[in-house]
Amino acid sequence: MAIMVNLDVVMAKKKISAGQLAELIDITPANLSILKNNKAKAIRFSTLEALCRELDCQPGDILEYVKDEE
Amino acid sequence: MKWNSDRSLQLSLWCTRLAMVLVVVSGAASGSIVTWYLRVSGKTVELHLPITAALLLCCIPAMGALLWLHKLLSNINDSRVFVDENVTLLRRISWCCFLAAGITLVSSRFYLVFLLISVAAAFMGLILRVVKNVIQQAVILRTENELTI
Repeated sequence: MAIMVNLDVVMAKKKISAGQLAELIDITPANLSILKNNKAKAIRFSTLEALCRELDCQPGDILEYVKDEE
Repeated sequence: MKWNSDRSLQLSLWCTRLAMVLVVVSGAASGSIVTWYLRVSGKTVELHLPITAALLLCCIPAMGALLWLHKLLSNINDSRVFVDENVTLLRRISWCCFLAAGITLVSSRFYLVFLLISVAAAFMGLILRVVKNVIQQAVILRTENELTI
């Protein structure tokens, strides 16, 4: 996968649980799990904004581009 | 009586069940049906065997198509519309139409009216393939939408 979601790393740094974060950004724990496990196809700007707000970070801290191996 | 999509679906299910019964009956009584048809239309008795054979052979794809159509309608009834299973079912039904078109095309060598049925069945199969492709795209869109967080 070219875009990696490093949400678990940021969550660990900020010491916040998945349940708490899901409640804060108003999404279901199941959807947060999809995002955390790199299963999501896309992320809405509103979700990214909420994540950055609650985790006090930049989009680049959550999303990372990884070159695909040929 | 107030008409709605649920009642329309129930009607389709019952029509499919009725069609299944008709296919079974026409398969079981194919000989008598063809004898009666030849007498009424004034055709020669030599046509009895090819027409009966075509009718019996067409019962196989017809029954398959109806069974899968029933499954498709049941899925829609359970609110499972844009799922991979329905794409597979539509593909199978379209192949049944093409199979019936093939049988009737061969049979048209003996009885030309079968050529019209063959064209109709092939056209139906083609329409079903288009619907299948549309549903396939809808499944992709639904999956993307569900996985957009």
